[in-house]
Amino acid sequence: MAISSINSAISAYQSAARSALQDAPSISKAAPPEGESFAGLVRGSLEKAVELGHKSEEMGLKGVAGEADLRDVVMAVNNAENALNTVVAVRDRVVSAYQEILRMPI
Amino acid sequence: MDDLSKASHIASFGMKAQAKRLRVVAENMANVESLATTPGGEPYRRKLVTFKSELERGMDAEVVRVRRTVRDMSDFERDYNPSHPAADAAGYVLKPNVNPLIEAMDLREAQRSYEANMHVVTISREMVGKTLELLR
Repeated sequence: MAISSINSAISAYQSAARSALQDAPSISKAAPPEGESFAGLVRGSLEKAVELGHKSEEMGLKGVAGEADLRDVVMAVNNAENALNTVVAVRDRVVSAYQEILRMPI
Repeated sequence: MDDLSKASHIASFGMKAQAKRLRVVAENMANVESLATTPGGEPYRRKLVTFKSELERGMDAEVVRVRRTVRDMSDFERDYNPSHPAADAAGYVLKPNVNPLIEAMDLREAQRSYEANMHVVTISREMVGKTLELLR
């Protein structure tokens, strides 16, 4: 599901790049596909990562206070780190794909 | 939830259970000399943990939990010490049924089991990292 939304994000950028070339009549202007945009994807997953980050901070504080189980703290921090790493990796990948499209010779 | 995250989550339950077990071993070790205060009274009785597997609904996986701590009902040892306040009419004092050697082994076992679960966490973390590495 994540891959298909990335694909649609890439095709959205392709069509955006195409529509930017208004002077070139030979390229047809495709309407941006409906559904999730890349910005939406990044925002949604980043919000999730931030939420997990908050949770891990909360658990960390509880752990310092001696209220939370040490293993729960470690797991929460681990989850937050995983989520952030995933978002960053996907963002980097899509941005690099976008830059590749921008560098494409016309 | 991703299977790899599930794996480390399940392992964390194992770590928790082993931590509880370690706590009980510590109690036994600490109370190896805890005698009664009344004549003929019972000294500290050794504790044991029992584990059970439990279905964690959120993950659809079986995790381990401590069922409860039970008392070791084996016999107490006796020492002849008539001057002790806990000595019975014949002058014998009951000693806790804790054998430090057994506790040491239990300690070792808890440590090994904890480390094994920790290894699962490390490996699954590594696998997640390596999978994300594919995107780079």
